[in-house]
Amino acid sequence: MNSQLRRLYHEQEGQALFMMCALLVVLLGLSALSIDLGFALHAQRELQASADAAATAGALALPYATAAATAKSFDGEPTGLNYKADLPSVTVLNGTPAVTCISATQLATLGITVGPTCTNAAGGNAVVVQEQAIVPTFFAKLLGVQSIKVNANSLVLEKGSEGAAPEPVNIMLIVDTTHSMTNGDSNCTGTGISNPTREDCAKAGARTLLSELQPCDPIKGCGTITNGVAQYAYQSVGLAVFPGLTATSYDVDEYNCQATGLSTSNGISLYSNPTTAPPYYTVVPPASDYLSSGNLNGGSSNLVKAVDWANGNDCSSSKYGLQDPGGAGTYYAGVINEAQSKFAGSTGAENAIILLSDGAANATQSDFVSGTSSTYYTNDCHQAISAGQAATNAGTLVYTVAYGSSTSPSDSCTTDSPAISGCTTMSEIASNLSMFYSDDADGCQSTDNPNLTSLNQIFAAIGYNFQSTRVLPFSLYTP
Amino acid sequence: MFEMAMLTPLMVMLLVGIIKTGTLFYNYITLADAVAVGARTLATSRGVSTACSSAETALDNAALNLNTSLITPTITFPSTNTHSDSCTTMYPGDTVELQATYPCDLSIPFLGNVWPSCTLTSETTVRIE
Repeated sequence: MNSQLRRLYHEQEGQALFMMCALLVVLLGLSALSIDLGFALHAQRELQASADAAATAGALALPYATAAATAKSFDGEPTGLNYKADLPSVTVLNGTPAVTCISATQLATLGITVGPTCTNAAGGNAVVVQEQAIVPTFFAKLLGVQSIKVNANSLVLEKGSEGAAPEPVNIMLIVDTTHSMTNGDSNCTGTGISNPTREDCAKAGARTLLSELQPCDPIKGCGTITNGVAQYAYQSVGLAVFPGLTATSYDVDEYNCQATGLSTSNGISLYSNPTTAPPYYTVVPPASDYLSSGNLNGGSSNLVKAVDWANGNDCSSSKYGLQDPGGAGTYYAGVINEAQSKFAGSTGAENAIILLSDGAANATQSDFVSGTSSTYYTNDCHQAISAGQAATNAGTLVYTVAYGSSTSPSDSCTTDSPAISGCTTMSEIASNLSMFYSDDADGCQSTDNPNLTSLNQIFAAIGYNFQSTRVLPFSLYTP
Repeated sequence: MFEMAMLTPLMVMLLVGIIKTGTLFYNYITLADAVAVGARTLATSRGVSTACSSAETALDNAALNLNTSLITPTITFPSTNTHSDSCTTMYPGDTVELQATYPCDLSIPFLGNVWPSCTLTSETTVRIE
């Protein structure tokens, strides 16, 4: 017996078999690590891409309540646009996609001091998506691991935060130049003028907007600039005013340091059918020469000259840019129509109208050219609402800035029946309530943007809306 | 010794196979990541005259350690889009898909490429901003 054991102890035949068996276990583990873990990691990356795409698509649909449904259509589930055949078991978790609110305090931790608010139809300013996939294993099954769960989370902030990437847009800025704009505004600061009028404050707001924008292609630059239009225009801005002009040749008087005074007897037109001209409302057609090396280009941009007196412009702070002689009452359905017409033929770019006014459309028959139908000198405010809604229906983003707007119909929309106030008119012209802002001077408050009450803040916030969405750290999300 | 001589090539091939598949999945993860980066670039490049080439450049730059000359990107605008999109004219709200393929490279010593038709594919569909 002992001799048998001694022989077996010294026996060398077949030892490679045992070594191989031991090595096979090691190799199986390595295979599991290499193939199964590799496949799971790949699945996680694909899942993250679909979660990011879904959350971003949803954030683009904000502030509308359809945001979550839009996000859902881009997820990785079998019905989603990012479904992948090699990742069939994707499910969304925890009631997502969902709209969530990232507070101003949370945004401030990222250095975002101005961001989208949560008081909108969707009830939030970001979209969250959480996805999970169960990835079956190949070799790890032999070690008892049937599958590996992978998760992906994504949180994307709506457009409208500072510091994001600019996106192409055509903007028509409409500024009220009726006589009420000569009133002072003691709450308005930072204009560089000691006792600014409302018009000064509006011009300062326009300067803020221009400073936030990107006039030319971020990669190619401006190229050749012809008549204020860059070869590679990116964010173009035009300027229109009301009341309008009797001839387009008078537009120079809105940006040549007020060398010639405008009045109803010299250049300012009475109103007419809102689809006919005169009046000519456009002062500067969409231009992309308003910045030079990041600064306002007062040297050659008519747009900048219309709102600024510096940077090479020979004006002074007491005599510059747009004039507000008044005399023709207030009626702005026509200027909205004309602004919308400036987008005809634009392809690919987003179009936006920004209207600044107190909203008190009160022009009567005497403010219209002789022979104008009574249809146009009654219900002035409702006509403006219809014009704004038509622009929205044509795909244009309509922003309104109620400036000193009244909440009383009797001292604002005096030709309208049913009664409506200037404040309500301005809110209904906007494409949605998130695009309605107010300086809140006379009790007119924006429900969605109640904390933005200075024109500079408002115009900065509007400028940020022409920037991209932002993917946020998921740690900011609290279910 | 004879058994060892017989088993060693098998072991070596197995080890090489594990390394190759590990590399394969590394490339797959890198490709998926690069496609996601390229798709994001595409989504935010509306109005940029070089939108598609910018997205492809972003894809290449994100594809660390891949041979970028072997990456084949394809950009597709679904026919279900509201507008007729192209690389030079993209419309906000429409969708675009970026797909990229990359050869697997499963060459094993003495056996050659054991799966020459293998191709890695990754795609992401995004909404144009």
